[in-house]
Amino acid sequence: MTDEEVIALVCKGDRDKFALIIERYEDKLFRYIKRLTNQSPEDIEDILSDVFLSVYSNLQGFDTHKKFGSWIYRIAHNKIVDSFRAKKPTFFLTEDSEELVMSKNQLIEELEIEKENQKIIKTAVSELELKYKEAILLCYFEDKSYNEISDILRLNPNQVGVLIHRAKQKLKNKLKKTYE
Amino acid sequence: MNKKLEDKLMAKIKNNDVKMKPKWWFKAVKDGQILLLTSVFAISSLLITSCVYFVELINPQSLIKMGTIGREVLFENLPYPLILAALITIVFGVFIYPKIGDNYKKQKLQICLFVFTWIIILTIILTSLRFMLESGWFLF
Repeated sequence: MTDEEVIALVCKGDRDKFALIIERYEDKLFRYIKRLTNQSPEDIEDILSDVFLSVYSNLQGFDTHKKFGSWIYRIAHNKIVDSFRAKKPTFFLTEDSEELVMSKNQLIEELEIEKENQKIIKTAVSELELKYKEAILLCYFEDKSYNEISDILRLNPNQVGVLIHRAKQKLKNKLKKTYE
Repeated sequence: MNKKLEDKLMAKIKNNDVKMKPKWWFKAVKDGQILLLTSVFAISSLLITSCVYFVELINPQSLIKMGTIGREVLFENLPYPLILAALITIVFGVFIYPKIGDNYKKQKLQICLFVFTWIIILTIILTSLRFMLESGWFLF
């Protein structure tokens, strides 16, 4: 069953089906919010609860011509911005080694280098401004298309391209400084 | 992830702690936004029409012919508050237009062109109506 079909059922009164939406997006959104805000798991869970409750209360306003994935990420984006307004986050690097994609055949030494590189990249990404960080995360970590990012950030696709290009430039400069 | 969050949220939903907003509410918000944009366009064109009217009262052509003093008198008597208000409403129109519906997908130039075109069309209509009223055309 697609997200849109589930939404149609929930809107018709089958509220239990909303659990499916929570199951499908809980992990994805948790990771997304964590990468973007670097807040404690409790705070992330609070944001996540707000996201799902907001999704539920605004479900009738969902435009069925659009992708539900983009819509829910848009709501998450708004909640993240709200949380940033409420309190300035402190940026720290989280060690989530389980997220690192490793090849079984690689040597331990190579893995260590790769781990170190990923750590440097993550630090550089976490130091970017929110708008750049969000564009990079959506494009490269969440695998969203320019069109989807455009719907999430409410920018035109050209602006998304410019944003990602600038974010990459900034990232490149930061990494250059680190490796020098 | 934990099942705790899902249970907590579903309990809230089932207990009616969180209610789904009705469809008409979203329609009302959307219509309200369109109404706001239309009002901004209307106010903007009304202000521009008023500017044109007040500039005409000064008779700028004759003032310009008077040379430096004429130009000074012209600039002193221009309806600056109206011009400023018209500019503010135009900028406000350009600012709110992309916030409505899918307009954020449009490019800046397209947005500006749309806003300017509508304001110009409305201004032409209002100015024509003004001329009609002044000439008493509607009486015949």
